[in-house]
Amino acid sequence: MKTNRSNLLTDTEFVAIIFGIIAGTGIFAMPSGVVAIAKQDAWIAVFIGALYPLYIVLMAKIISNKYPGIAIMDLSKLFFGKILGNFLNFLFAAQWIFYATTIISGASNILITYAVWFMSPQQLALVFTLLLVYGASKGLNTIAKINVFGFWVFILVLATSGVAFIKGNLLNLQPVFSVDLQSLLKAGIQTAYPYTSIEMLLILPPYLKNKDKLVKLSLITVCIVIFVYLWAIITSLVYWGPDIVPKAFWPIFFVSESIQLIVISNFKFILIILWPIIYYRTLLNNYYASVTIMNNIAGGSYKVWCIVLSPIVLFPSLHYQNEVARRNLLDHVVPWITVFLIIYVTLIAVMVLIKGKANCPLQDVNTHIAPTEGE
Amino acid sequence: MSEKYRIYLIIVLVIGFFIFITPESITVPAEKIDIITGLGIDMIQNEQGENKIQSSISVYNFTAGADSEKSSASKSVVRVSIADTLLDARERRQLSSNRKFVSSFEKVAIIGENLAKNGLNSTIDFFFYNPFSSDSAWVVVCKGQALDILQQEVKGYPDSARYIDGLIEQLQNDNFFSSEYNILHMYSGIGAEGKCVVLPYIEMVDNVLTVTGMALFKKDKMVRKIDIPEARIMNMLREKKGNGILTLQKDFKHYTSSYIQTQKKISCSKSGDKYNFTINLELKTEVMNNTLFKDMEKHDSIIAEYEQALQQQVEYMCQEFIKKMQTDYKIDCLELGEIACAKYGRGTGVDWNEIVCNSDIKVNVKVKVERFGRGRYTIQ
Repeated sequence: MKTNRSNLLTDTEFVAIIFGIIAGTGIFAMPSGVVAIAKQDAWIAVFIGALYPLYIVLMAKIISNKYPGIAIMDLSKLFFGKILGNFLNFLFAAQWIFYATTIISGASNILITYAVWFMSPQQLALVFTLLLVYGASKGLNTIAKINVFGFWVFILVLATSGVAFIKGNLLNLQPVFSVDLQSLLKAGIQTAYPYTSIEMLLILPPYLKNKDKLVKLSLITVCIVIFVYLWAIITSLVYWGPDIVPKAFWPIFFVSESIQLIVISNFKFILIILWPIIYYRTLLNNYYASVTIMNNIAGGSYKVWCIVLSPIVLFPSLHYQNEVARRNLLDHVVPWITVFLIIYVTLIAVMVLIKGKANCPLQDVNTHIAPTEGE
Repeated sequence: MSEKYRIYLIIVLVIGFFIFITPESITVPAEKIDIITGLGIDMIQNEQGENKIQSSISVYNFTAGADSEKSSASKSVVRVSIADTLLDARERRQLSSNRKFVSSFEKVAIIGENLAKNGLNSTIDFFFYNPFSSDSAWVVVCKGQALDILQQEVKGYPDSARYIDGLIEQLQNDNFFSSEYNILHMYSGIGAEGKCVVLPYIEMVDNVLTVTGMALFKKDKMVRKIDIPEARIMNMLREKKGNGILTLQKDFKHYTSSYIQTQKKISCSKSGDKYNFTINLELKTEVMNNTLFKDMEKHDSIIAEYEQALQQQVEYMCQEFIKKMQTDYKIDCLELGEIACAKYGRGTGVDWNEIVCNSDIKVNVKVKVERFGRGRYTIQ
């Protein structure tokens, strides 16, 4: 099949998808952990952490210079052969599946705490998984539209915490640059993890309309993410001060709570309505990534893979117990995943530099089929 | 095609039904819910001398509300329960309540003086944990037991909690009070370095609920209460902005009163181990009543005279208060430590209460007469 131009991703959709997979549930929780380490200088750590996504974008630039519009899975197979290449691809898919399970669990934890206390985690996980299978089976274009919508909802939710600048105290950010370098670096590594998942931009090139804009759009996305993370940390710091932020699991919600509107007794209930959309789009992107890679490895129908992977996502997500246990697990696992990703991406970029032929869209590589076609 | 969709639809409906089917106790009509307006928490001692929590709630009585002929007081009920902890008290209360307990609507939390002096950490922790607690509820400390305040009948109001809600909300208009006496500000005040929580202190004066001063806290423990005249000066020096009235009086007939809007700026410096604070207070003045300074509207020199007189009086008041604070109260209730730690580093483990009490605090007052109302009616 040939790719149909109208089914390709526009610039906005591409940015929204990459943003959607990076900025998910983690952003609400992130200030808590970072401020605990770097205190009032936590916002500096955001820039240190941003080195990771910038590194990935650099690798993407190297790859796309010689192989524009080709997904990383195909390059992996090309350079390392079917067995080793597919093994690496499988690990690549496994991390998306792992993230999807943790997001289901994390989203259920927040929603049960704040909104649907009468539902069990199992019920919520089932709802999420069913929606996931349905949404993913509709194809990339639908996912893109959900992401664009989710992007604006996300900005809206985040903008409400701007009330911190009215009610908070800028003294809470001072003294600046007083935290020692060691804890700043430690916090920087802590913020690098919320930037993971940016690797999705290596999967999407075949579906991008302006294939030469990949690097530019990725940089724009990284900038938006940096801004959003800065915003999250600074608003919660300004409002709560470095001593109180680490006490809350999701500090940024506390900031928005202070908004008082006439008639509405509690502003947080308005925000609660919007959260599931934010979680859902992140989840959907993760799921789409894993389905696409598995489909690439083993072939077969995209829709069948959507259904096959659902129990694999559903059942582990029920075993994270509570939020504290989930975060402890993530703290242990995410560094290893990140190390793997750096090795994987770097290996392929190096191979591209050594073996790749410039401007050579390989026929055997470019057989990847867009799942959105003919839907 | 339609056959296929019908099957999907049935599957989705069946699954959705089983997921969203809720236990009966979740969906309850309003008449079966205890909707709280006020929460009172006390520490009392039982016969064995053990400390217990006495939790009392003031709830809206829906069944009485429909009958307009009944007095307004019967529209609310106070439920009391005594237990070891707050949550136990909630459980215990259900044994004598015919409705389901639902929090998150409370407008005011009244804390008995005993409990406040014992420490509020577990109470604040309880509010912080609970995602449904109403963080915008006011917090006040009361003399004696909170239960007595909640049971107090206020004419024209269904219960005293609603009256206190309005009382605290309107404080900010006078006496230089701020509007920051709710639970959210307790969270950000108690655990933060260099901060000091102050709360309105209410009691019954001649059968009227009245704010009679401020309760000063050291971390989560109430240390003492100060009366309104001192609280006014403290508020003036402590809050970023405030509104109030200041009067220069010679005798019963001759005086000048003005509406004052204060604006505060603090600078901090350090020499050796000693901290120096300078509080710059700007008073924007609107003269509202003047029988003391004759022809003030006509001559600039008399305005300057008034400004200087007011400035001297306020500076004197402030210095007296600061002296008292440093020697008597021994609390940094002006939150000067917050400014010092923002400049000279946090987390050094110093006790800001002690440092502020041993430091130099200067007050510079600048009075600026801005308006004179609409005219002057003084008979020569």
